[in-house]
Amino acid sequence: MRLMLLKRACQQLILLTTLLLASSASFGADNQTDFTTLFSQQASSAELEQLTQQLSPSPQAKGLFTQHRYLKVLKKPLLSHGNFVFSKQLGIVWQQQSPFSSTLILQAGKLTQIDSQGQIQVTQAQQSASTSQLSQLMPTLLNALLSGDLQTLQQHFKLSIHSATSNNPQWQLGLTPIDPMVQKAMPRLVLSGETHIQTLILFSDNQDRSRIEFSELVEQPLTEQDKARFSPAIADILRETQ
Amino acid sequence: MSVKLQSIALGFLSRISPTKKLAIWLMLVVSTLVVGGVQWQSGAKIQTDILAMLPKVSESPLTQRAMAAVEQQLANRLYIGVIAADKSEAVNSASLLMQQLKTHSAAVFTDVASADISQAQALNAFYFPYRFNLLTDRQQQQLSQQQWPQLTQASLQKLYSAFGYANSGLISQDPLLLYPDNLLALAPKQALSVQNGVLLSTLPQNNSHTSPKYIAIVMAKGLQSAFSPNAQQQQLAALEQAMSAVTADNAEVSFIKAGALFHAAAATDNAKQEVSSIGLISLVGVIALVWLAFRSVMPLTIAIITLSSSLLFAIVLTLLVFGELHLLTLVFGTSLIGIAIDYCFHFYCERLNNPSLDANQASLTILPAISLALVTSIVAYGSLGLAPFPGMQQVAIFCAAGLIGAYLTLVFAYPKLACAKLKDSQHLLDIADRYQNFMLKRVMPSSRLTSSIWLLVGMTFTAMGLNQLRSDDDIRQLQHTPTAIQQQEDSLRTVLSGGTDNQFLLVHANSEEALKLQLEQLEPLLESAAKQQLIGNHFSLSRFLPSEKTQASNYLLQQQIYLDNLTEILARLGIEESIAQPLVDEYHAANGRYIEANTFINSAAGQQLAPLWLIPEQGSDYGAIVMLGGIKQLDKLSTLFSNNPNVQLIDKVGEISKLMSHYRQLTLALLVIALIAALAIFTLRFGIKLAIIVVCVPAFSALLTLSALGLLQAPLTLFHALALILVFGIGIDYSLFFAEAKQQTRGVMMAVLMSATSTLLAFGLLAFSQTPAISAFGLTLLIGISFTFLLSPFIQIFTRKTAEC
Repeated sequence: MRLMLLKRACQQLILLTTLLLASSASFGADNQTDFTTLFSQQASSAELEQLTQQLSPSPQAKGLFTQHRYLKVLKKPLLSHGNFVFSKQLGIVWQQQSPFSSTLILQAGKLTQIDSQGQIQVTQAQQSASTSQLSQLMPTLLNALLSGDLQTLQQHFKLSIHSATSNNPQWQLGLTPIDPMVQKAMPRLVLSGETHIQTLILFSDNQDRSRIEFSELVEQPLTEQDKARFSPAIADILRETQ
Repeated sequence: MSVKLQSIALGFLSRISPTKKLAIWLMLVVSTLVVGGVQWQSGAKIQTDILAMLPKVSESPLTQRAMAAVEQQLANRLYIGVIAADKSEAVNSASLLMQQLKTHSAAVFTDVASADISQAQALNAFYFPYRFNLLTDRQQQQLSQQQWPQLTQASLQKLYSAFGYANSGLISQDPLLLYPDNLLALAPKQALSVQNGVLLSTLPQNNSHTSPKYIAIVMAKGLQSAFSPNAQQQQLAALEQAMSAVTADNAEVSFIKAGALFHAAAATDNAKQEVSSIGLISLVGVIALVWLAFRSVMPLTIAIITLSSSLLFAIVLTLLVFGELHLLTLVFGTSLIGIAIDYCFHFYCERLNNPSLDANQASLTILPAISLALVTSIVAYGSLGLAPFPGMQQVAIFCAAGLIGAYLTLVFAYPKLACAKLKDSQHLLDIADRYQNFMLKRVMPSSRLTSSIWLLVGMTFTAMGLNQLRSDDDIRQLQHTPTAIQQQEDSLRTVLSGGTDNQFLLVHANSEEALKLQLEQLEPLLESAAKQQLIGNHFSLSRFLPSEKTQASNYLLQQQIYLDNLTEILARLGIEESIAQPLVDEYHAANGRYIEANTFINSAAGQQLAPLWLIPEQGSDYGAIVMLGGIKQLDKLSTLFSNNPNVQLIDKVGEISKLMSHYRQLTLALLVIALIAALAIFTLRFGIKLAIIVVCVPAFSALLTLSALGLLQAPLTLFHALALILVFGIGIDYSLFFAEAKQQTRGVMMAVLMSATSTLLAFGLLAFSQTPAISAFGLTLLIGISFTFLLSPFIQIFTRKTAEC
């Protein structure tokens, strides 16, 4: 076991993927909506309770997404479309369909990536340090975000809330990561919706941001075909037939 | 000639009055005390490091430095697993534990850490400027085959992912996003995740029905050696305090621990317990024995004076010769008590047997036998000192000096101090007498038939025993670890995915670049060794320090990105053209700027890995240590490197085990030499015939002891051999006392009875020790002294006969 002390130096590399974000240069302020007021409002338990009721979380969901990535060094935002399947038990299939296809299957302790050439890359969180941060945190978070599991979210984030009002049915939930490393990479997240979640905005420190809009959300139990998509080989065949 | 010498000495000693003798003795003791005091003032110390006791492995300076570096890395580390049912509970408790350990008033730990975030930043900061020299195997292949669509597509995919690491800052400096993979390639695969700066894992469960538990890892390093009893106590107390602070906060949390500290503490506890149990039994036993024999406390007082002055001489002389005294010398050396006390018993038995003699006369009567016993014992121990083994040399000097001390006490102090009249207690004398008669009349074969049967039994016993005698010199066998500690260590080992063995590879070459190339060539070999299950894992500096050749070739390959195709790449990825010129400038500036070992190990990133890189000293080569873990087949592994003169498999445990084996054989050979030496000395005094008989009893005892050990399936170790020397020495004394006493053997028989019983009480009981080395020593003495005692009455038959004729 004693190699550990030398390995220790290297284990930390797990974190580096996220650190890189933090260490890169800052760019000028963007013209995004300012969420300062949202993040100044610490969520009370009553508000969260109300939100849970409003969301009426479901153990599974599927739907479409549209994602805008605003990166400072790019000439124009990256726009992509795709669909997703979410199951509290199985995990998440995140499939981008345009402008090119690529699939991300996030399961407990396992990350499967299928690129546009159809190459499958599986990384076990238990094997590779590199996936730990991404594949362990993201499934939990997406799971919690999509199912409205505020308890799990509270373990990882400080929550602030802008509750729905009678004349504005939309609520906004601000999330600040507790883990300093995650916070460096992703200082703030904003989730908003009405009876379902509608938008997720991820901010990064250098003013890059991603805005994901959800649509056509279906919360009925998953079909066998949906479930099959969690098995990468079949997901790959499906992708090719599409 | 010896007779003449003896009469001169006797004449001289008989002319000095007991009071003058005591004055001489007191002067000797006082001057020894003064010498000892001066030694102590000038920094003599008791050495507790077990390795200092072992022979120096004769290795090249580079190898020795490598061993020292590895030891330094492995020593004094401890690992604590904080177990909780919930992730955040585990993380919070671990953070609290770290805070407690760091802020403990008496700073006994250093490097208290779990996941080290600043280290990660340091590595990133170090390698980022060198990114033009870094490529993974796959990237090398893609660039040399000019697979631009794949390269740009891969980058694009990362750009589109909202959950990945691609961002403006990185893209503008590394548009193809090649650097992160290189950085990740530095990290070995392992099963731990990091949460809030704490290493976290799930705990493997034996029972699948129980809910999973989480374990957070905390590491620390003791400032002082875990083998120092003081530091041990302080570290354990600090740890205990920190852990109770955590359990006070959350009672559900439990801990598992691993590290040398816990082994050492268990050994200390064990020793303490044994001292109080075995020690008490033997002390009570010896006191009871003396009381039974003499019905007086005076002999006991005298025995204590003898032993004290014996120990004083032993310690001072050892300090004088070696400048330090090893704790193990003290442990093994105290066995000389077994011989020193014989002098005392012999003296008293003589007085009891001849009540007409006063103390002065009694001491003069037994002087010839005692002198001869002293000379042979010193010769026997002296032969131990011939071995180039610091531990054995110390034991030899210690025992010889101690015996001289006991001898001088007998000659000079007894006449005055032990002059009190003894109670006329013939009780034990009678027992000894009856025993001797029984042995001689009943057990002694009277007919040829019974003697042949005895001979046959003896020979069969010896043949079977010696045939089954095995040896095992693996020093790991000498360590006794309680199962509870071993289990905790095993669980942590599993969580930390394997671990490091004491064996490692030392790679050396005459220049930095040559060494880096050697390390690079070693990498595929070690990977295939892992595939063949010869090793579990390895850790080399190779990935941190690529050779200049590799770096230059990687730089050249990236020319295609930054000089030849940058415009197309940026266009394909939709990146602003404005970043192009700064990138090209940076690429040019990086030309010829290589990652150098010196820069790396002196950087914040490389500090922790610095021990693995050995800078040349006094014209030696450059050296690098490759750590190995989970070694399955050491022999097969070593053949992998046998053809490469630049790579050595260093196995210190194996080396020491080999040395132990060597010294075990040497000790047994020395036993034979001591036997011949004793034979020569006795021939001068008794003539060859009686000399052979005197030597035969201890020799047979040794042989029978070996046979018994064989039948008991106890593998022979150096410690058995050392004990055998002592058995031989004591056996010789018994024979001598009989031989010198000629006709009047009642007193001798009683002295032998008492000596054997006290030795068995003092050392035979060590056979029940939990510590294998001590148990081996005790068991051999137990068997050996028993045989010697059983055989000793028979000497008398021969000595009488020989004396008669």
